[in-house]
Amino acid sequence: MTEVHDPQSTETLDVIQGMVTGRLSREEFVKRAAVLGFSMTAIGSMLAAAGKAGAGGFGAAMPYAGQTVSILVAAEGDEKGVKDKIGTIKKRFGIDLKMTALAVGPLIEKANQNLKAPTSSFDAMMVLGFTVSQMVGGGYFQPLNNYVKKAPKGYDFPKDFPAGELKYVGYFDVKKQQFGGRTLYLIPGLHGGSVVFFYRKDLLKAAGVKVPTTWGQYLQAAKKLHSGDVAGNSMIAKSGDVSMFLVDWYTRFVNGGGRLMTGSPQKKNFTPRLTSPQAVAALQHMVDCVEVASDGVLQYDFTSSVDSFSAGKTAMMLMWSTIAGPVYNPGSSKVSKNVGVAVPPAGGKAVRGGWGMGIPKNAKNKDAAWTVIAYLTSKEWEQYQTLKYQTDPTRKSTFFSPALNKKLPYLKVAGKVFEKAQILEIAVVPETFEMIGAAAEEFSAALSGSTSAKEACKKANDRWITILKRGKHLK
Amino acid sequence: MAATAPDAKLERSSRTLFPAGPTQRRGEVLLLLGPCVLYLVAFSVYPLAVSLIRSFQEYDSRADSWTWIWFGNYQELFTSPEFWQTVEHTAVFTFGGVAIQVVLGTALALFFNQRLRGSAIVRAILILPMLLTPIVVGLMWRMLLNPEWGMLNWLAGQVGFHNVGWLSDPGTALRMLIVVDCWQWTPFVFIIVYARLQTLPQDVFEAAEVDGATWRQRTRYITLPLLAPAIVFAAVFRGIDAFRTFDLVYGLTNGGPVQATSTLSFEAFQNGFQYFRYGYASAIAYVMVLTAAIGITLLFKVVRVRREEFA
Repeated sequence: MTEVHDPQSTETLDVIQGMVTGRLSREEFVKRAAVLGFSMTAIGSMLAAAGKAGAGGFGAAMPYAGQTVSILVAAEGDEKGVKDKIGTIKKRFGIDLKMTALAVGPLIEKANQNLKAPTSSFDAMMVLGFTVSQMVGGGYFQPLNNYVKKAPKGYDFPKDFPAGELKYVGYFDVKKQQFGGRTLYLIPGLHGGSVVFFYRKDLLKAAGVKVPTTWGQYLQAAKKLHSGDVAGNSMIAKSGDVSMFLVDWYTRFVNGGGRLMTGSPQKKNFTPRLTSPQAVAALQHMVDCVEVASDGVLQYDFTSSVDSFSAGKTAMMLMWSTIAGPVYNPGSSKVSKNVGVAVPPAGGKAVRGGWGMGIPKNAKNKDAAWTVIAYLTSKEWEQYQTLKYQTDPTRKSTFFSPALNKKLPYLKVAGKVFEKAQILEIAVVPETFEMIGAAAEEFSAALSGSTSAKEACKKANDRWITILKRGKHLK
Repeated sequence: MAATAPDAKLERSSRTLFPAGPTQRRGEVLLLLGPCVLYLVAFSVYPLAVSLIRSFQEYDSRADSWTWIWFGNYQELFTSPEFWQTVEHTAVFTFGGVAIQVVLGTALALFFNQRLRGSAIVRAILILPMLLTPIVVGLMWRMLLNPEWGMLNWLAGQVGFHNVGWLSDPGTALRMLIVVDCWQWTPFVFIIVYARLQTLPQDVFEAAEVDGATWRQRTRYITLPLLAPAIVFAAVFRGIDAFRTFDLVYGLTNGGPVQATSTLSFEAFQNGFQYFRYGYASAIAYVMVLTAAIGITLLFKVVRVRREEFA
């Protein structure tokens, strides 16, 4: 007898999809397929193809099919790549992915609320490095050591992740309240990043200026390149902007040999060194650079700075590598062909940025959540995301991929800085953001000329001491 | 004289929580007032009580625990120079802004009361800013005040002022905040005063005119005294609103530069939602509530506004 089935028939499709996604059990599939008129041979072939033949259920291939996983991600470009792949996740794992994407501030607030609730609305969430101590340190995350052992082939953990990033947004010692240790709580992702130095190749060449490798050279180059049409350099100088502290000040400070803190919170002698010569020199250098920056630089956040560079109005800038990728995109940048990139002057050091993704202890679908995390931190997704949306990866294989570097030449440089980036010393206390914000507020007084760099550093130091004493990290 | 039986019953019931009227039974009173009381308890009394308790506690975000520190938050608040700076900014913003709005709004109302040609169209345009949300106003003005491509800087450049850091200079940022607030809310004062103007008795003005009173005299001795209740109402309403302004600050200056535009509401937001210092933020909020309550009570006592005059 010849079997005639309309492949487009809704019922047939529904049954096949039900089996593929795992919505239907083996028994249900057999019953419904028989009713539709499929022969036992056809049913057997389909079951075999789906790996469901024999006694085992479909669970062996798609154990979480039909489950819904809710994730909380940062609206920093990651959400675009996740959104693109919701269909793939459904097709491949049978999981319905629900995503909430928020900016950093609201994300931290939302994450905190969920971590402390009886049950989290999110099965997985992204954690910013600067909040690891607060969130993971509070004991709110599920250890991933056993999960990562079951990671898919080619996941390449931990080899493919920089050791520093794993220490920062991976392992945490809850007992000692410090980064590192042996318990894995987060997988680095969905994007990483550090600070790199962007410059206009054409302008430097025309002015006969070499790529600066010291801060003195940087200032001289900025002065020489500054003209009516193009600002010599740019920076994040908006009052209270945390990136002003992290990108512009800290890069100058750490490459000038500065050390931010002495002592430790555990010993209650965690003392700031914002009045050190290196701290004052770093701020003074920024003050000098404001003179050869755009008129509106004191209101620049990182978006304004990148936009100004992309519009061809800036010759040089230090920037989060993950934010600045679009300067290479001809669709968003007038200068895409003339962008040069280098490690920050005087040492190539910068602050370690990035996020980790983990499973809250109070999540409902932990196992399914791990499947999603493993996919979203895989080489496959990361390379797709980096190429399409130019956010910074966390894997070495993506940073140094020859194919990606052909299109995004900054990646290799960003990868080098990322490998040896430093964890911000104060990231170990929950008051990190408050401290960075306070320093950025005081520093902006020096940038606007209302006070000296020395006085601004002293005020910032005093505020840090108050905060640290209140937090009982300093007696 | 001894009270009669119904009088005694009435007196007794008036001492209870839900007094019944002479023709009402207590059950009816409870039924009618109950939902309203429940609503108030759930949405006003309870949150206020919780935030009062929180203002005496400190929150540990890592451990998710609260510790009693009694007056610790208030002590920190009153000894913090940043707090007093914030109080100063709030006072300057509130009193400065409201004073300008009252003067301008009243002047506009008097001007438009002359029923000039085309005034209906201008009046409609005038109230447009009031319809915008403050966060949008903040972002819009941030663009207008942009030192590189903002329209105001271009205009300033035409008359010889270059690179004015409207929002980046601590000396001008608070003034600009007041200017923007006035741009948005002067129309509110205008509407209230203008509406009151329409209801003023015309015979008084006609009599004054017959007696030879000039426009200035009529305004000084008749219009303004008659408008006083409406002006006070608008000023109080705007005062309360300006005192707790948050969104405009957030959108326009984010409290900067160097905390030069940080108001009490913004300070409470920053501590509560950015630094997770819920206890300290609650203490700020309570200081605000008490200040507003005392301020309004004093204001009403000073100006002696009679309620019926608002009607």
